[in-house]
Amino acid sequence: MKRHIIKPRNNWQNRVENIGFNFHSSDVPYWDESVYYEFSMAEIETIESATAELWEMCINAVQHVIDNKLYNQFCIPQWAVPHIEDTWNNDAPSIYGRFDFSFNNGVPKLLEFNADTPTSLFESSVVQWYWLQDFDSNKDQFNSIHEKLVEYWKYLKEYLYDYTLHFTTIKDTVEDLTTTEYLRDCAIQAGLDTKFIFIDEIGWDNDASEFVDVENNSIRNIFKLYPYEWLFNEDFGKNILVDKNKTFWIEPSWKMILSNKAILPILWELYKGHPNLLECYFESEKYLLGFNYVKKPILSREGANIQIVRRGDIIQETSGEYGDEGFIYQEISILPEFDKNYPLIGSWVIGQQPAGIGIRESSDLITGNLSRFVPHLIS
Amino acid sequence: MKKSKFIQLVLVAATISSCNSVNSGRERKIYMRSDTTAKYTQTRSYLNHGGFYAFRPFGVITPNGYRRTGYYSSGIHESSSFGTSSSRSSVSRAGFGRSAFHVSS
Repeated sequence: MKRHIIKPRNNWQNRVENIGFNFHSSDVPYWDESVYYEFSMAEIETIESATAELWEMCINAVQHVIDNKLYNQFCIPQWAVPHIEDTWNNDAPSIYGRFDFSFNNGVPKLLEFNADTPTSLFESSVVQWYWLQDFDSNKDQFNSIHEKLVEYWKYLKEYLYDYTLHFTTIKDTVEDLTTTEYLRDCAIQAGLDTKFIFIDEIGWDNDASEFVDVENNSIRNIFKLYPYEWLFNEDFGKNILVDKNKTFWIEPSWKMILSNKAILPILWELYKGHPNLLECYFESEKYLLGFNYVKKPILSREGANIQIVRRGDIIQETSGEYGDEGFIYQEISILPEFDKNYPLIGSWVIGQQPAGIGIRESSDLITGNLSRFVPHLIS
Repeated sequence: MKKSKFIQLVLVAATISSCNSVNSGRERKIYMRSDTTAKYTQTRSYLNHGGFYAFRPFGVITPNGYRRTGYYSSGIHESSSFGTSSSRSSVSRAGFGRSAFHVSS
């Protein structure tokens, strides 16, 4: 893995905006093509095989959590459990997830799994691929995300109800709208009938016991870029359980288990010593890490409320509003450093398969919402 | 195979690009409704006053408490706020979406 400094394309803002990427900059740059990372094919194959193996391990871990009713450790409300188990036992449709890796000395280590509402999908799939066409179209990239999304929507078509597939997210954020509309784009190309609705426009028909769209048509299949810990805690949350249509919510609710950082100590318990896992514990066993660990809330987003502790001292921490549900304690795996830049690898699973990577680079050890998305290629 | 051969987008560029569309400065006629079973009517122009249309919820009191049944705005005609759908009174909205302003992870 090498970091190269290059000159951005002269008209890069126009280039990325022409493909629909309008959140490339805010107060600070987000898309950064003044650098790129180069991987050897052997490194890519290592990341790819680790992703495939971790996905299998995660599936086994979900079964373990369900079999042993470990929901309390995940702060999952008991009333949500029947829905979670129902979607698991009936293999409800799922489309994607993103493992976050540190990558030191050629070994990917799992930091967390964004299994419910991963973003940076459009950047990984489309924006960096178009960059490569301009930069060096003879080079390769670990990126078959787009084809796999289209193919997997085709595959899921026969498992969905024979109704429109709705897509929803919140208003007023172009980033979330882009991710959602990109997934809808792929579904359209797969031949699915789709419709977009903002999440606060979703209606609940009390007489018919069903969710409806703005035209009062039934919602039977819906992709939501909106996490379950919010969905279930809002006014309509419990309606999901009494919905007469048993609507397919994508991702399915069993992904609540994988998107929760409580899955990390479970994975360590099941696969202790696995080369792609970091030692990880709940509060009661954190003493096993001594005075060196990373403390993470089981539910948090964009690197919030994380502490890195060395010899008992906090060497770096982030603020935020998370932590009420509890914490996990993970062995420190410092991100690789390139001139005070710290890249984190997001490795995508589409359907059941590894599909590509996206790299976010930060000036700190904790990758937060100020990180920059940086393209890559294979040498 | 590691590399996409071809990426075609049928939706994203047009949809997202429209989010950045620049106001031409000329006042345009805008037709709106807040109930999908109601007809469209031309709105009162608020564009010279910041361009905001405030929609407020309305509802009914039932034995189970208050239930929202729709939205109205002083910027649109009454006939565009109240429709004809017989199922309308049993549908409430805005039960999702209050938790945060940004999803990314």
